[in-house]
Amino acid sequence: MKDRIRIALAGNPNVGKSTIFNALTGSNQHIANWPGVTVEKKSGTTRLGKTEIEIVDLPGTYSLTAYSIDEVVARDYIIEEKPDVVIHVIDATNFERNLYLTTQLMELGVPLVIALNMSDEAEKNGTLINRTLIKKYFEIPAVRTVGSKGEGLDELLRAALTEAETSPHHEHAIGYGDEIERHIAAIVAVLEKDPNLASRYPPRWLAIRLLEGDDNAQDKIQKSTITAAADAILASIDTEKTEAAMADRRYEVIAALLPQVCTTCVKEMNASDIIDRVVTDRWLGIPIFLALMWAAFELTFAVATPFMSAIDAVMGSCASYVAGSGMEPAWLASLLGDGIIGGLGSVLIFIPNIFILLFILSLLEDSGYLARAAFVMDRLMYAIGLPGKSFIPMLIGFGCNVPAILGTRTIEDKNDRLITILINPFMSCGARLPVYVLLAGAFFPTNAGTVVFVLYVLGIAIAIGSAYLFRKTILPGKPAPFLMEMPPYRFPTAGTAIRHMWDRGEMYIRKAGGIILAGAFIVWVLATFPWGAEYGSAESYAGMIGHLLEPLVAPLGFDWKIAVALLFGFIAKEIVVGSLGVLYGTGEDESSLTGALLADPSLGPVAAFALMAFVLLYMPCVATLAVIRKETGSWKWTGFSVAYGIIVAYLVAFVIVRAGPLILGGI
Amino acid sequence: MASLTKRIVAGIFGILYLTFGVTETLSGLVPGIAEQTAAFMIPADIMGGLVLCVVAAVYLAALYRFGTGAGSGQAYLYVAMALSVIFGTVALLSLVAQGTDLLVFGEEPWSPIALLVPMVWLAILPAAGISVWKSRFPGHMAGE
Repeated sequence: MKDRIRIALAGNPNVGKSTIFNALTGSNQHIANWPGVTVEKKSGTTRLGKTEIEIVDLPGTYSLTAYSIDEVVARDYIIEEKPDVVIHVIDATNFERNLYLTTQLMELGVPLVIALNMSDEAEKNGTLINRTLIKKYFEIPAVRTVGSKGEGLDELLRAALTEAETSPHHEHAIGYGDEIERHIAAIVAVLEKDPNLASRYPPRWLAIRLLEGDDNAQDKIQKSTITAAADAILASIDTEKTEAAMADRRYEVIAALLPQVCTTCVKEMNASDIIDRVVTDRWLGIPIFLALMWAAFELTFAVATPFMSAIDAVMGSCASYVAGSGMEPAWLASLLGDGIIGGLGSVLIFIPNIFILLFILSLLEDSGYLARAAFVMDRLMYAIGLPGKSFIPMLIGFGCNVPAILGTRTIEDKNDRLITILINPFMSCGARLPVYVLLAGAFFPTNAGTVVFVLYVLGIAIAIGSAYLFRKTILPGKPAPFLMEMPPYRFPTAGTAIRHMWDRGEMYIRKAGGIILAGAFIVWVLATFPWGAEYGSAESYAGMIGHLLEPLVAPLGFDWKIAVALLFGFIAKEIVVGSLGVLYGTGEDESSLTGALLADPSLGPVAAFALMAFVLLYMPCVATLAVIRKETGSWKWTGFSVAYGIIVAYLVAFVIVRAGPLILGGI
Repeated sequence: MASLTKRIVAGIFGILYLTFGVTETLSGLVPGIAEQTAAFMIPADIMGGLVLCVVAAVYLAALYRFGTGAGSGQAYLYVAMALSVIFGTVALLSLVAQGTDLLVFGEEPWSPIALLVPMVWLAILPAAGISVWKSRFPGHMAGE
């Protein structure tokens, strides 16, 4: 019996590895930062009889494909450090999913023991896994464990000890079919010509990794004498296609073995599987997603209309009452009527739109569909150089960019995360909706929902294009493939959706009472003074500022009033509408503002669309800038976000203004 | 649902959605067509037409899978019917809301006939189909 052995605990995340680790090592554990990596691995010791056992808890990983740092750490530890035994901790309640990692560990050729953890829960659910048959078919000992109760841990250690002393080990090989096996044999033959390489890494395993296009494996052969020969073989092979074929083969092996060892694990397809077949379809997935998003905006626009009319009528009555009350001094009446009620009313009127959109997004999220949306977008995201994970913060950005940028913390790679942060302000948040509703309703009355949808798609397209540009220039790298668990579909409840809607929407109301009110007050002051100047006229301070800025926006077809509104939109995008109300002298009355905009000779459908695109793209609001600064830790990137947004907005608006009349026949 | 019935449902609805989808899209794109299609209660709506085409594609994908025996045809049919109902509901709610706004705050007359756009009435049979067949779908689909 050996005096000392080393055991590595490997497994998917959340399978109870740490629970087993803690139960086995007790207070002996310590956490160490291992050299060269940023991910923590834990190690501790225990004893079984006279044998001292060092146990290393590896990062949770779904595969050993080494796309992420966790996978590299786990795999390299097993390969480089060569533990005496690897215990693969499996969640017995989710046996099938865990087996993919099992097949990869088997291919590594390391001594392996399976811990069927959470067996009590699995048995309660009616899952019966035959350990004797696992030993027979997989040639790996399997032990029933319940880490939380300490059940089966002594048996697990004994099995590991026995395995450590068993020699020689049978090497497990999955047959990948004639064509791939020919490639493997050719690469193995080359690898075996370098004794140093062959002694460090199992040649078949390394050949498989190289065939799968594994960059980490490529690095391993770079300083070898056989690099050129291996590269020559690999150059003639489509590694992406081979990787998919090999993954399929592993799943076939799992599908063949699963019914042998666990008859109750073979589940009939449920409703979620059935829906997923279609909504994640290679060709139909993205069109279905776009169609559902269109439905969300169509519904948002249409259903909100009567509510908007009601708010408009109430606020109009209030303003008329204040204006007609003969209140003295006159400036106070103007402040209350034009400034406060006008500014607030022009923002509050859009609450129905925002809340309905948030309600629909909550329904989509609660139903489980948004997770599928991220999945179907993964291929596109990967093509532009971003991980699929980035799409989730982008979706959150439809509500508000602030939590969306905070949500990028789940992205491990620094450059992936930075790109996701920088493109997030292009996702059209709820604050921009009032501008669209006003202008699309005025200039595109019969297709307002479609115009709003097009703007959201424009935001996504600009975000994707920018990500591609950043990846190719200032933030190079390769994204990690997306791996996420799909939550089951469920019927969303109105109560939950309303709660989510309120959680996200109340911020808008608070903003209306705070920063937007303050913004409206500032705009009123600038539009009113110097005292004696006509309210909102060119002689007011607002007019002077506007005329100063007008040359900058004139090429876009915008006049000084729009320049001022855009300037105040820096604080919060909602202020753009309130500012327009003040500057057009219509205050809170949405229908009057619509009429004033339509009567403005400098504005037509093309200029209105250009203005909406400019508001969509031109720069993040103050709150978003603050969170960009916090999350990037850099003023440089914050400044870059502002400058890039303004340049992109200017270019897009310019193209719309110049090309629009050609397309729309001069309207 | 017998296999032949499923194929017929997928085929008929695929063609109907495609026909109305293309017509709505063309009405929105080509000047002059809208006046003629309006007589048949088909709106000139580019995006609405494209959405009908997406639903048509799912029905036709179901038909294709039934034909090749590749399996999952029923899954596509079930989702296509669900999409019909979702988009039909969206269109109905939108039109009701517009009607309410016109009746309460507007000055133009409004008639419930305006609700009879293809996206709404095409959803009626799929809605009935889902309610009748919903208990039978999942079990059958897995076995295909």
